[in-house]
Amino acid sequence: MVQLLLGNVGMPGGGVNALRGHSNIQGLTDLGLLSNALPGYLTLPSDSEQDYGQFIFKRTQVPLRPGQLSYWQNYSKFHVSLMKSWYGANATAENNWLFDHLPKLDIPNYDVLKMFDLMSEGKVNGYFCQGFNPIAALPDKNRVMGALAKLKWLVVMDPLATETSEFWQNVGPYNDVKTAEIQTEVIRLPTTCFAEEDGSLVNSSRWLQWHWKGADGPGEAQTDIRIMSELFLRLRQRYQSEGGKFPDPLLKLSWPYKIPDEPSPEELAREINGTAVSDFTDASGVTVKAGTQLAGFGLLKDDGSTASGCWIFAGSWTEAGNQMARRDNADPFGMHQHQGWAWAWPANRRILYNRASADPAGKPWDPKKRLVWWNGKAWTGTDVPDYKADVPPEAGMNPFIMNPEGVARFFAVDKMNEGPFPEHYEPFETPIGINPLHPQNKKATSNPAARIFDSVWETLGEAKDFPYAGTSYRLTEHFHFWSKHCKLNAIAQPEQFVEIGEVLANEKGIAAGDRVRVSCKRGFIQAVAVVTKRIRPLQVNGQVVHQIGIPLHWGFTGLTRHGYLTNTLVPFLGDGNTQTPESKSFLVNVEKL
Amino acid sequence: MASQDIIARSATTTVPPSVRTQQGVAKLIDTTKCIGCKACQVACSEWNELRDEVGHNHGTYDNPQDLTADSWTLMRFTEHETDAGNLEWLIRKDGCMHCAEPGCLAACPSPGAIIQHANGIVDFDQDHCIGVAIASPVARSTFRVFRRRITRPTNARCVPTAWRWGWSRPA
Repeated sequence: MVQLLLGNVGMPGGGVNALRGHSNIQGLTDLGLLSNALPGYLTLPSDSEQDYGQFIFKRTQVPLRPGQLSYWQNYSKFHVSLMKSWYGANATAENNWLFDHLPKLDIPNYDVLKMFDLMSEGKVNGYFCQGFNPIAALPDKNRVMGALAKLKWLVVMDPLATETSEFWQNVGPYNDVKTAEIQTEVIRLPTTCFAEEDGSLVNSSRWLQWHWKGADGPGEAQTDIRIMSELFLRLRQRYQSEGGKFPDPLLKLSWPYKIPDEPSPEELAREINGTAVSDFTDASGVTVKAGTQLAGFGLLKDDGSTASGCWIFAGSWTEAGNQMARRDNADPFGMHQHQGWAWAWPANRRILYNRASADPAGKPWDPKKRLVWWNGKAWTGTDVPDYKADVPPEAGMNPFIMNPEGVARFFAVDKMNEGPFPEHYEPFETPIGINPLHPQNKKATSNPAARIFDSVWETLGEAKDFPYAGTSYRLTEHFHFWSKHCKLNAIAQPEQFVEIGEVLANEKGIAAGDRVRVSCKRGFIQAVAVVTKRIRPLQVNGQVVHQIGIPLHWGFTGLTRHGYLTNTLVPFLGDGNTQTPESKSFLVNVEKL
Repeated sequence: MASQDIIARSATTTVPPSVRTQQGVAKLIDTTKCIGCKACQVACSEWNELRDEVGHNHGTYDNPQDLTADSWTLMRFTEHETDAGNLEWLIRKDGCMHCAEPGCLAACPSPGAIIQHANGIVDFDQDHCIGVAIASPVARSTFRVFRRRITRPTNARCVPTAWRWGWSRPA
């Protein structure tokens, strides 16, 4: 909202840049690896959407104001091309492109919080963890561990022996479980890591950058593609020979790869870009031959003549080859855009909504920050215009072409669960007990729309027992829970510590290097105290609040000294919109050991 | 080649002639820009194939605690409060400073074990080292680095040595 008010959206050097937690988490979101999503920000139907026509109609956003583009009005082209990519010739207009083969959601989403809650209730038999270490990454480690122990089987696909794959081992105080009582069968499938395979990574600027394999994986490690493909082929074989309740969504999948049990990254990337299924004519009257790699999403059709595994990636692998592998760092306009380096979705645009960098008449607001302009006949510029190229400025089409109203949103009626505007809420475990914005309204202390399961309330503590504000964070020496498996990182930060401000340390008689116990209602960790001037007491709502800093990198596997999983301390609840756990603010007590 | 560019040797009064005029080299470390990530510390260990022990946390960010035979570069962290009450987190990169007047070279009793090159680089020649390890306070850390190398010869080379040999990869 502030960036919008400042006029920084669509401008070079402006906009909102998400600092995401993993190098390819943008790619994960783009490909729709969420329980309620399909690739390219398309969505799954809900239980109430059994009719294909209504499903498409609801998602086809027509312009709400005259002359606006509302690009989502092309939704059916993206959706049908996806279904053609998955199901090939089996998806036809007559069978609604196999709409009935898509799962229909009975609840808004089955994310990790929901799955582990179901697991806690004994309602999940088996679970696949692919590149995911939930016992370390999810809040409330003891709760997550209890949930894993209720599984019949757990498959861990990972390059490392993670805490999740070893959750059943008693590792003294760091994982004090009764191994004999855990009946979960754990299967480890060692995978290669990113440097041991070809592929692409997507960064927060939406660049798809191809990378090349640097070495073979160690031991029996296999690529994730190989493991998933073999699993699919074996499941399909079982369904073919033994039948099943509704095997069609599996049996009808198109599987055109040259080596069926290990499709190549190149084949998959070409498929995700998309191809012409049959000859068709584009808008300019040129025939696109069947089998052609599509040049962009503008060519996609909803009549079955195109296939694309992720419409926003269309253009990443064209007839001109792998655009993601480009490494031309030329900067002809001096705008630091490097259009020939890798490839950015959509359409190699480097800055979204870049029409907003020009005034209503089509002239750049600032000649030093020019991105796109109207040359009298068309939109052109240093970047690919994020706009309809032939619409003159006087037509009044606004820059925010993905919104049906054509303009940006300072508030949104139906996009945020707690209301049209964001506002301040206290964390569920608050050191001050009230929301200073609504001191009289207990219901507005913490976010009333937050994600909290019934069984979680009793795990929340209060400031009278746990008076300090705990927060978890990362160090430059480590990356999440991975790098503790690397010797050099382990040398650089070998042992778990917590940071305590000098004032509080003096009050409690804690000296640097002492061991302390940090506890909350859900459990405790013990670590070395780093006493620091960098954490100072805060004055909040007329009272002193001390913070405890808790770096999160240690655990009971790897080469560092064993430590406690930091998320032992974090409550199991999620934000009202993003479902992100409240790992940055919870209540703890500190005692010298 | 190298011996002709030596301008000072430990326990040696005569100096070999330097036949070439060399451009002096120096390390510039702008501590105002340093964020203390320890990437240089790790890179030094990687380049020189050193692996120190996985130690303990002693109440600071410094790890290992000091320079050792297996840690030739070390970041040191100091929290400093200025007279104006502002806090500065001072981060220093410790290692051989290639001093203009090396204390280790002055203190070393073994001829030619520690040498200074015309370009300013201070180096160590283990063939001449007798393992005495007497050092001035200034040279203590440098000596500790070098001392173990006579009992544990490796192929490792000080990074500036590699530069001199024309290798291009910085560490």
